[in-house]
Amino acid sequence: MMIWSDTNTDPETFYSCHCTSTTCRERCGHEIVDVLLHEQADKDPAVIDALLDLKFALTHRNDVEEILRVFCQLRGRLEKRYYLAFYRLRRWLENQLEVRVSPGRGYASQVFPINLEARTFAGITGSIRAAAQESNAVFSQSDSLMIEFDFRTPSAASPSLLA
Amino acid sequence: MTDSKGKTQTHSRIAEGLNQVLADTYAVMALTHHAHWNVEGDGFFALHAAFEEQYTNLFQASDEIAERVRTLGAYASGGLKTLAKLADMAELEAPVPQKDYVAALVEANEKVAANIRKVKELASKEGDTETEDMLVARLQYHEKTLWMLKSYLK
Repeated sequence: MMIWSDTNTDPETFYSCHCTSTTCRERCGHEIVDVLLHEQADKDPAVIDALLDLKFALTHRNDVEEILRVFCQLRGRLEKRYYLAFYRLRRWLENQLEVRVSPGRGYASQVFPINLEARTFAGITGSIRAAAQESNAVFSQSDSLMIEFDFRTPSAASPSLLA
Repeated sequence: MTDSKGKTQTHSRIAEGLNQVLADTYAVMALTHHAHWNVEGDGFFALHAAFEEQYTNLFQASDEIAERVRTLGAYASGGLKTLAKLADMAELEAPVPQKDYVAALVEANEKVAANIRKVKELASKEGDTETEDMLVARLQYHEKTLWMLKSYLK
């Protein structure tokens, strides 16, 4: 739920998100990026450009690698000041994205959840590779796993009792 | 409400909302207890103690909310599986960074507060001042907790 207030300009308090894996709203991440953009309006142009890149990539949903790369870049720049916003973005991306891993082109792939604890794109793919190799003997024998990111297929959200 | 049937229906809707608040409160208590056990790092002593205060308050509140449900003539939800399903809170798997425990508890407390506001409004509309009074106190508690948790993240 997005809560806006004209008098409160603290980004950690004027929005909130109650997403879980079953009730994750598609727009939530976009709204957090909008709030961060609003906050950065008179600050570093490079950060504003990166936020606009993230907004563009999230809107078009066709390049998840780019989304993750820009997210990691922004996290490195802004997380210290906006920890909660980046925590929410991480959780949202983990709910919205998935990764398909296969031993190579033409092989059957397996879907894995994404964990965004790693702070760089290389770290994220490294943790996915490690998880895949740990879970599947075929993957553990491959030196060059194919990793493809995508948005999850939308599933019906559970209706809240008090909605 | 003047007739007994209407009053029963009103109480039933308020009790249903209170059962949601009960499940939320119990879930936040469990999440806070989990954070109390597993948090580590520089702020350990402060967070460990703060989380203990919080889950103790939430445990006592669960009892108060459940007893209000019974007072309204309904039955209180119970059992870990039932409460977890009703609350549908995101859970953390330890270990996570210290600030992630705090951020997760911010989200959990926000969810409880949002549901408390809805039930408080319903109770107010239906003239159930006793339930409303209890929920005002609960809302004050969660708002204060949110202020503290968010302050830690800055």
